Amino acid sequence: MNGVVLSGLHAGMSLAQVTPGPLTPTPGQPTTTTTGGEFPTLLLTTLIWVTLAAALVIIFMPERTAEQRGRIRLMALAGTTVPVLMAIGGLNYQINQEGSGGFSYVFEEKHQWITAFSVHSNYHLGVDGVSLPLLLLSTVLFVVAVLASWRNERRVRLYFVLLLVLETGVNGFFCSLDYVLLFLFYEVELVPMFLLIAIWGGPRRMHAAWKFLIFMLTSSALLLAAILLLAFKGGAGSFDFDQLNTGLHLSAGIATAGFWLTFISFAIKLPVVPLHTWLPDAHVEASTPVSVILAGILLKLGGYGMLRVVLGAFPDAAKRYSLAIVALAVVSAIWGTLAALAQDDLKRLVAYGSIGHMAIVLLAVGAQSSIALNGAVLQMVAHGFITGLLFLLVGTVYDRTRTRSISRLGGLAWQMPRLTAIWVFAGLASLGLPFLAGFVAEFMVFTGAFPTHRFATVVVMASIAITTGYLLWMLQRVFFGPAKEAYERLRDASTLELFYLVPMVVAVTIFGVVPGRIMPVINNGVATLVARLSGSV
Amino acid sequence: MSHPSPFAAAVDLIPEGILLLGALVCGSLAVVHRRVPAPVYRGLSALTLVAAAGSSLVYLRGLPTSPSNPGYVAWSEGLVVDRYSIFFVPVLCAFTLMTVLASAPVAQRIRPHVGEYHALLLTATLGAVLLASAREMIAFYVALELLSISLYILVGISKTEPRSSEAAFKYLVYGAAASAVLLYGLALLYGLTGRTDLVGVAHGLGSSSAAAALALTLVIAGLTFKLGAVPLHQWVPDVYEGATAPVAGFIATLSKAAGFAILLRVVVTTFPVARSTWLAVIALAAALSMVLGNVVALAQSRMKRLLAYSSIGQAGFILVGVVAYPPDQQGVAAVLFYLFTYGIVVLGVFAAVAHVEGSGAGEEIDDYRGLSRRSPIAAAALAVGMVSLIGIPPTIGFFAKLFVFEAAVQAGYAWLVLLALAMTVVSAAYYLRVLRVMYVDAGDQDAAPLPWPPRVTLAAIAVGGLAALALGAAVQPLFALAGGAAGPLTVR
Repeated sequence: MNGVVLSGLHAGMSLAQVTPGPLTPTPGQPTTTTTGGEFPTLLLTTLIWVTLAAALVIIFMPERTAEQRGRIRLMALAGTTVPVLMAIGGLNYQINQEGSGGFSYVFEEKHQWITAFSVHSNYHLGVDGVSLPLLLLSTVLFVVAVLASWRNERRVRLYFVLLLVLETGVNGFFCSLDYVLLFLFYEVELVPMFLLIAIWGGPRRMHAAWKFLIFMLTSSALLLAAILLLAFKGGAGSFDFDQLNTGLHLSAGIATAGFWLTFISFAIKLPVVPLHTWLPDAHVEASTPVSVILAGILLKLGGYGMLRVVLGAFPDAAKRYSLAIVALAVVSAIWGTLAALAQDDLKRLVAYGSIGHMAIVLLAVGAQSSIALNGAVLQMVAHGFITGLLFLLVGTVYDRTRTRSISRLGGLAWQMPRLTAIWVFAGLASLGLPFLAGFVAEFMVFTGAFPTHRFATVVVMASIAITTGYLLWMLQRVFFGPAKEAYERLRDASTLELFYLVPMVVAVTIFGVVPGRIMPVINNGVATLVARLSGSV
Repeated sequence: MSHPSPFAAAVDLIPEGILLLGALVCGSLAVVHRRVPAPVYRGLSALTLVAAAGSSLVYLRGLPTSPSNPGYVAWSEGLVVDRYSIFFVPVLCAFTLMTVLASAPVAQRIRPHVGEYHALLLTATLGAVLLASAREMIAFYVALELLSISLYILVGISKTEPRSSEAAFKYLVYGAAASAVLLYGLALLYGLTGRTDLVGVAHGLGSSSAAAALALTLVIAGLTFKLGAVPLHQWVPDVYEGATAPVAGFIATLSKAAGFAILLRVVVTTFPVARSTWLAVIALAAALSMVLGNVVALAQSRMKRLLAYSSIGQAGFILVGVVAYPPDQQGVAAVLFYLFTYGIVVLGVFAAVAHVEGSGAGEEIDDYRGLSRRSPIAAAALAVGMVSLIGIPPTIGFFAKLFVFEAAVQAGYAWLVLLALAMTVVSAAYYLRVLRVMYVDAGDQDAAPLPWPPRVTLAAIAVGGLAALALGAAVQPLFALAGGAAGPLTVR
């Protein structure tokens, strides 16, 4: 484990050596100065709370007639669109900013919030290269989820209120730079997601919702325990990242306990085998848009937590136990993809596939090299878009055929060529076809992990082969082969569907073809982490 | 500071005097004129409570603030007026006010005795307020009995209902036993030291001894009756179920808060010598209450029984804060913060329950099916209240638990916090079951919507729900307030 490539410079060089042209992020350490003060710094506050404000408005809107329900939908769409524009604006600013040097957190806001027991907690928001891409992913997927829910006529008001509150929680989590605030947002998503599964889900929705809830509450409880431990036994007198995530010297016992508490907490969320059992149930029973949010965004809370909290606050313990992390990644990758191979339900297949894909993020967390962590962030974004796309596509098939059983489907390509094209695209993206987002990310993780964990990397790479297998086999059985009579009169993609599917396709392509535009931004955030891991900050 | 004549001493007890006056007016009116409508009593009680709460703030001016002399000693040195007792006056009055407002839907059940009902609410409040300012064992015991006896009658006020009488009887029997235990402990203390004032007892005890440990164990055990905590918790489910919902809420908040008020004062002022003993006793009570309350609540099928076990569990969570009594007053502040926020939220929940039961919808949890459609306001308030009771952010319940846990971790009770966290996860299962029944289960589609709650009750329901949701925005000032109130209990 001590051979981990920890120098940002070294990692940057190896990146330049092994990747094609556009992939050349600027290596280097972040500067410690923040550019926060120079901006109108309400950007993140607005981004987070605007969705809650929209939810509060919707609570008071009537929903009796179709026209009134239409207004609620428009309000929800407006509420989710504003954050997208702000996230794109923020990212774009950061990309253009790149020439002028590194940064740690931008758009920072910091106000005193709670002081109790002489430990301070701040309302501290800010984003860096790790959170900004995820913020973009989250805001975009929520718009997509709203559009994908357009035809829902059941309890429309409650539905959109819950969805918007959920978005506040998720966006807040990505922007929090204080552990109390982070935890607060981490739990905000709990009850809305429970109800979204329980009310609009499939036949076994209650079972799935309870399972989700118990797992997530356990995850939260472990996280809270770790946070209290860190704040009170760490001796920093603060819950703020500025104190806790910057070179705090913890005693070995505290660091070990904190590491395992947070690691297990986020391993439940990610999820990591054997803590993954909530995921297939929740994803299968949830309605299509809710599955998109679950797989596309909620799993990323786990991945982000791994990077920001597990590596950020307990770097030494993370280094010590890196072999355990890598071993779990290997188990998850093989288990998830093999299980996906065995599924007959399309949704279950995608759900188990997610476990395999998130295992690659975990491999990077174990490898802890700059290039692998860069890949992990990109992998989360790529997986968010690709899996979101796959769940939407499963929804389109289910809407038309009322079944998700692969063995009962077949020959759909003849009835719905346009949707089939998008299916094939999504399938290829998911298995990591070059020039699509997933390839770049996985390639970077493997490159970064190989020097230190050769065997593990090879095994995880083998799981990619299994991924290729189950995806192609699924595509072949569902779309090709002889057309079935039962599915003769299926409609192809509607305008509304294309309206939310095509932008996802475009996003996946952009991230795959020109990752060089965003990699420097990601690398800037990762460099801080790597510097922390190498002990130089 | 004390006054030479009893007349001047009365100035020290203006809020208590107002409460007594209000109780007397309500009680006499009920005797003189049987047909006075309920709103008159409601108005009288509300006026009394607001006046009492307001007048208590007068004492804040000129209050001694030195650590060695944190307040006035009043009434033959039986009572003390300090920031701690002044904090409790408005808080307890607010609890009673919400109970008064929540009582409108059950007016039918208490109709023949509506005057006595309000008078007893006020005498119970008087007992609770006195309990918070007792600094001497006789005053302590008298105040406790005033509170208890008022509550016994309130529980049994629907005389024609066997369940109500049964509950009152059980409450009385358990209460008498608890009083005996407590009295035994107090008598031992007097025997050991020859003093009745808490500070004097502390001096008299000197070093720790087996007799002192026994005495304090008995006192704490006797007080757990008021807290609704293990070991004297057995009455809670039966009494909550037999009493009307507002009275159950009253017991869950006012009586519990008063119990914690005196518990803190006793253990902090009287037992610095045997600290490790009482910490161990309370830690045990906290752990057992959390486990028993939260686990048994899972199996309940009736709403008020569920809330009863929840209240046992909550008492356990609050006790975690009592255990975590660090060298400064912040552990006490965490407890005070918890008591206040928990009280407001729980009273909102009970107001909603009173509305549902008063509309004849039933008392089983399954009767709440489809409540989100039948009474959106009550369902929303209950939902928010339940989420707050679990302690899920951003509701105020989260901050209350956070402070208590922080205090406990700082005081080195990490194991208790881990247990509390585990029990929080368990508690979510039954709290969210209520949410599920109201929002997910469709229930009988033809069931008629419930009538709109009476306006006063609507106010109580809304205050509870909004407090759970919005008080989180004012966490820091509220905590600072609790911190100030905890000042007089600082260990020196």
